[in-house]
Order: sequence, then structure tokens, then C-alpha cells
Amino acid sequence: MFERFTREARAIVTSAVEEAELRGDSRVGTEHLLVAAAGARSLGGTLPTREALRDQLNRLDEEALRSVGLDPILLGTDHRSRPAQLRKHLPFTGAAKEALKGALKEAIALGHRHIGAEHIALALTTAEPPDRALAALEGLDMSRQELRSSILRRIEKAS
Amino acid sequence: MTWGLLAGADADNPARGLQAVVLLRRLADRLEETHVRAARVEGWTWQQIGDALGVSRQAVHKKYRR
Repeated sequence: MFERFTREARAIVTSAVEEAELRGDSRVGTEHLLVAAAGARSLGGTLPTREALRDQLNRLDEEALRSVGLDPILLGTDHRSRPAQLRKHLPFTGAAKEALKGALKEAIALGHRHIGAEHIALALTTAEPPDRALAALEGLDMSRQELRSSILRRIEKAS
Repeated sequence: MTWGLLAGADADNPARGLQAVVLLRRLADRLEETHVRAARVEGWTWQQIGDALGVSRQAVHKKYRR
């Protein structure tokens, strides 16, 4: 399947892995794919910015810490880096794998032979909730339908 | 006294609760790493560290040797 990925789509997958490492997460999830996709030039303007998405994910973490009585300010960013001995090749979550498979389906449905950034982004909008990427979008007041149609409009304009 | 960490655990937000679990585990891992290294510097044996953590000597050694 990956041989059909465009250069940009491959870069999204690589960048998602880096994003997960950066956040100290143990798996590469849909939220990391979303942040990575937000940096794709061909999607410019359809997704929130990387920074906005990262801030939103941080906000979700802060809410989670507060819900168990911990002050995120006192903790600083200690919860965000993993102990050195646990750092290794990060696996993808089930949902992230589904999204990559979904990208292929999106390409086929549109009659495209390649799998690009737009197909990964479309696949992310079809995740089954609860989903971290959808939660981040929701926090930024962007519905999956809204995102989906703006990506589709962009594809139409480009073709 | 019934107030505690789990007082809010019956809340209706498992997504938030599970994310809290992930973050707490990571904090515990960081804390463990810091103190295992400190104990080694102080000359604790792997057996003593394992006992203190409630795990086997082999488990700590495997994780932190180097």
C-alpha cells in the first residue's frame, strides 16, 4: 500500500512518528497524523495550524491532569517526555493504522491512483469516536463534516 | 475521609480519565528512573531496589542496566 503514497503522504507518516516522540507518547495515534497533516503544503488552509492542534492536545492533557487533582503548572512538562530506557521504535495505534488504510479507500473512492496528504486527512475525518484527532478538532470548533467538505473542495479546485 | 484521587473517577468522561492514567504512568516512569539511578549512585544493589519497588531484582536490572 505504501508504494502508492506520494512523497508528501510519506512525509506525513514520518512526521507523525516524530510528533509522537516529541510529545512523549508511546504510540503514534490519529492526533499525531493530524498534526503532521496540518503541515502539508497541499492542504494549506483546510486544517487548523500545527501550533493550534498542539496547543489543543496540551489543553486536553491539562484537563486530564486536573481531573485527578494534579496541577499541570506545577508538573511543568515532566509528563511530556518519556524515560530514556523506554524510548524505542513507536508502534501505531489501531486507529492510526485504520486511518492509513482509510486513506487508500478515500483515494479509490475519488478515482485517484496515488495516496496523498488529502486522502490521509479525509480518512482522519472518518475515525470512530472517541478519537484523539477528532477531540482536538472539536476543541477548535471544527466538525469532521466541515473539515471533510473543505478538503473535498480543495481537491476539486486543484483538479 | 473519602475524598481522594478516585472521588472524581465516577465522572462521566472516560476519555479524560484514561488520558489521566497515561500521563500518571509516564510521570511514575520518570520518577522511577530518577530514583533508581540515584539509588545506584548511592550503592544500592539491584535486589534492594527491586524490593523497594515491589518487583524482582531481574525486572529492575533488565530495565536499567547500562
